[in-house]
Amino acid sequence: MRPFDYERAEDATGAVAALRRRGTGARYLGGGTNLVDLMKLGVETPDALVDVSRLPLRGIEERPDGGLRIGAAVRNSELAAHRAVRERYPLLSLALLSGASGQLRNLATVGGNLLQRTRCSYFQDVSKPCNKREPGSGCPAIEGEHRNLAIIGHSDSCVATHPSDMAVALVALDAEVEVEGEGGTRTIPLREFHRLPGDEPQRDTVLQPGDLITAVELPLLAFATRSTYRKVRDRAAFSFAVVSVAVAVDVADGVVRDCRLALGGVAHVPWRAARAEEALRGQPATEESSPRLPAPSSSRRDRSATTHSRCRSGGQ
Amino acid sequence: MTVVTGTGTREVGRSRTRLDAREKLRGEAMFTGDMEVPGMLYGRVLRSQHPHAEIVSINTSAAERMPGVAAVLVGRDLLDIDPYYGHAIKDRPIIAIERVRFSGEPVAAVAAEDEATAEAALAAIEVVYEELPLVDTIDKALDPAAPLLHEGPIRPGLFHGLGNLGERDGNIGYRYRLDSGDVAGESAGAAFVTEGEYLFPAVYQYAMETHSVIADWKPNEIAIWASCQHPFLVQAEIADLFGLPIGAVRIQVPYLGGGFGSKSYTKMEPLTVALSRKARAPVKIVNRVDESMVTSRRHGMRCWMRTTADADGTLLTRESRFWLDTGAYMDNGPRVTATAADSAPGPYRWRAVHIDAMCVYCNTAPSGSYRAFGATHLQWVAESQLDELARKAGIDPLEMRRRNLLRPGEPVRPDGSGKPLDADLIGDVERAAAAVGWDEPKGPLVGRGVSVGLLAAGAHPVSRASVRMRADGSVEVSVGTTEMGQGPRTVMAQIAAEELGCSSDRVRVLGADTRFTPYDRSTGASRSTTLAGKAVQNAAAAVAAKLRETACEVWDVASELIELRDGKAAYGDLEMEFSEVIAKRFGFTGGEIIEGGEVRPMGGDTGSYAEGPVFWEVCVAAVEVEVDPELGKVNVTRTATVADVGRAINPLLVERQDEGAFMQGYGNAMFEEMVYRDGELINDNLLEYRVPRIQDLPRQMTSIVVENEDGPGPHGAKGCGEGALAAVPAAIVNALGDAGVPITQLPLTPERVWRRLQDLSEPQSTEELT
Repeated sequence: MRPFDYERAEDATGAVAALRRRGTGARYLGGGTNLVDLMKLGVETPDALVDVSRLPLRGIEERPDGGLRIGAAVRNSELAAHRAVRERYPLLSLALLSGASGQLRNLATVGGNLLQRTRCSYFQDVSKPCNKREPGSGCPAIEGEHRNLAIIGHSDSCVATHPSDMAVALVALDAEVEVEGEGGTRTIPLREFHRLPGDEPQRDTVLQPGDLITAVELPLLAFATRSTYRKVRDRAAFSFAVVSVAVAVDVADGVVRDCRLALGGVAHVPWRAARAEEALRGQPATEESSPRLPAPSSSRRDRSATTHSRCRSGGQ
Repeated sequence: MTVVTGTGTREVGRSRTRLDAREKLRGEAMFTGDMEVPGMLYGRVLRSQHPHAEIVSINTSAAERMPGVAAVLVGRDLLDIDPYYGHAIKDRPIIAIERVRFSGEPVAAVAAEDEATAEAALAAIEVVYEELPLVDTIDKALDPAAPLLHEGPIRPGLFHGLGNLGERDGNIGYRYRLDSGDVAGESAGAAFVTEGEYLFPAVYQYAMETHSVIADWKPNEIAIWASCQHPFLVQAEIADLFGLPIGAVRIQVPYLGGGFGSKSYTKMEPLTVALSRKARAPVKIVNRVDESMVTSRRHGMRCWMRTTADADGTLLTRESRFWLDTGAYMDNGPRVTATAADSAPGPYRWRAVHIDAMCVYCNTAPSGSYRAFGATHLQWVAESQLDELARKAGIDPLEMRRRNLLRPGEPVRPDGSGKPLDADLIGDVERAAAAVGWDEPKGPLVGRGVSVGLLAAGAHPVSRASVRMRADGSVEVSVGTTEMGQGPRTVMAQIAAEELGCSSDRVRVLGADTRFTPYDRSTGASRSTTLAGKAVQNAAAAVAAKLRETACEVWDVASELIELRDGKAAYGDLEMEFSEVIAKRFGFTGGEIIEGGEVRPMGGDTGSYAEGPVFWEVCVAAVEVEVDPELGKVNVTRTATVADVGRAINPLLVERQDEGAFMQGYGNAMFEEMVYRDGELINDNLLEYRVPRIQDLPRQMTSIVVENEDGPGPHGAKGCGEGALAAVPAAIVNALGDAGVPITQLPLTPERVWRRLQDLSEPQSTEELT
């Protein structure tokens, strides 16, 4: 790992100012569970780290509408265990607990979780080309090992997936991201926060340099009490999703009145399956009426495996 | 579950809490990586990124000039010694010389004041390579046009133990055949025939502690602290390499954080010594995980097998040819190959057997020992074919085994040589089958399978130990067995305490220090309790005899009337504390009793171990699975493994060993695979190389401890802890076959099972079968 400067910020404004002062080689340090790994691998080589893990952003507050405001430095394990989260948004709690390991969840922050980099092995190997790491160098994953990479929304320059479980649940819940940047505070809907790779796969999100996530706003969704998160993966713990689904359904008289559906492990973004939601609304709540995923036109994964996949709602 | 419980002993047979538990739980236990010696430098290794290349040039001058760098070692620094080692075949240079043969091979090493400086210096070394044609798979290695990875005559290592090593044949570095009877003639009239090709992937042992060494070279003496399983074999190899008498090499082994074979024989020790020699200072090298993954692994295998039976299911013939990918250097490849061949027939009666086993050089990382080596490779293939024959013949697989399994006393090897069967295999497999509900009705896509095998255990029966009773009656056992989590410090204390008639609380078992510890061949092959334990028992018995001798002088009675119990010598109502006995013996409040014990193949004080193997380790399991057809996931619902240990010195530790072996067998069968692409290991981290975690465990696991007191070790014990690993993949594969999804390639990932299910439902599909 290369030597770097370290400073600890006292508050969000100070952190943003510190990063601006330090210049483009500086990074925010949250729980460090991804950034520090990438530094060890030489993928990230910051000159300076501005530690934001102890900013006063550790609170989970009630919103007037019955939703929650979650500070960006709240740890994943705190959020998963929070009573309001378990009662009102079980899919979020389940998604968090399906990720990483206990030790990592104790460190990982809400803000950092949203900014995780892809686990594509070519991105993490500095001896390999990667358009995300070195724009223009190429994408060996397209022809190489891409078993866990994108099925939908990929481009000719990148087939990476976003690794977060938490973000899949949050995108289903229409969460919003509060960001402090050069021009003050603004709010970005999570559905617009992550980007598809297009021809700029180096940009994971719409954030501008120096932006700092300060909170995630979670609106009330009454029927989220009936929700779950299901994750298909290669082993039962400490494993990223092959495919995951966050789902909430509002069923009345055997008919789906409303629903939320989001997919993880399949795209460069936590994927809100809006067409599938639309197809479900007004349908009888039976397994037969569950929508088949539209077959992607040029899947990188095996065609027969993906077209066969079906969404199943229900228990873990 | 314990089937038979031994009686008549106080310490032996007791589930004593591990004596090292407190130290380890408190984080006080020392491992090599925790240690520092005065003046110590930190070593880092530059490893080749090319799997096969000539080294055109290495420029180390910039690295050598960096402040804090003490030395940079490259191949040309070893011109004054014969730098090739390998306990089986001397084919490996301490550091690459002119050529690299695998991605990850050490090309240069730096010793510096701290790790960061050493790491930075690596980046300053310039190596120019010229790539050579890649021989990264068994198929490529066997191509007659393939470049040869090694040439010239085979140089036997110090401990090959395999008789005539034979000649190299292309890239086949070692070949072992078993031949008995006329296969063609005996199989001509067979009613049932099964034949197939099978693939077993390379897998990693995954000890939590990576390979770690501190070496301090001096002209007349080398001191080493190392995470090694076999300190005495490493001692001899280092002495041989660096031209010193054996006694001038001192190896100390603290606790190991797991071994599983990955730390057997010589690994990072020669390189660390050579770097210390160049730096003229002690050097510590601690591998990263990705470095340990290219230091040792289990062989990948391609296997063809054909088995025949007559109309009533009586087995007739078995033929097999298989190729093990040993990587760039042999390491323990020859022994793995021979053991795999020994496991190929399985414990059955045959009219004829022909096994041809080949160990093949490839441009991949070297393969060595991994818990239950050889047997794990072959048992799932052999047992798959037995089940397939049973299905064809319409015979219950358990009944098929009852009809064909060897009985105690029958010869195991097809040529009749070696130790006959010393276990009740039919009883073992019936117990295992019952534990997974063998005869209960089952739903669709549910299957049950059993597997039975034997593993030649014990390695060479050469072990010594000493037991020393101090003036206060406390006891030290000095034995070369490495404590790597399997519990020998506890078990050896129990064995010694039993002989001495005291509590094992009073006994300390010391880690190996080759300067003082008596010789023990190795910690592996399930041998420690049986052989080193026997040496401890003998030494303790000799100490006990001295105690009795003194007591009978004091009381003037025959020594057989004196009992040792509760830390005292007793005769009727008369009692003396051990400390009092020693005080009487020496007429002084000091002194000690120190005695040795010995185990060797013939004669000595232990009877004969001349007839190999020392014992046949039983590899028996039964498994129930259910298949999720939508995800291809195999849910292992119930399992039973059998630890047929003769006598459980510590039943709890036996169960833990059996469960650990289960877990690794389950990982090998279901999850694990080292994925190579163009000679490069691409999942060289613990996230993508997936060992099962506790959440992946089956819902119900049963460990059956069988105690028939039929082992050659202390109190009728024999070793354990490997059998389940060999047995579990076979039982899972058979259960899956019973569920209607036969598969011939491991691991049984959901994707592979799902594809197989698709293929079975659409027979016209042209996709790859497995």
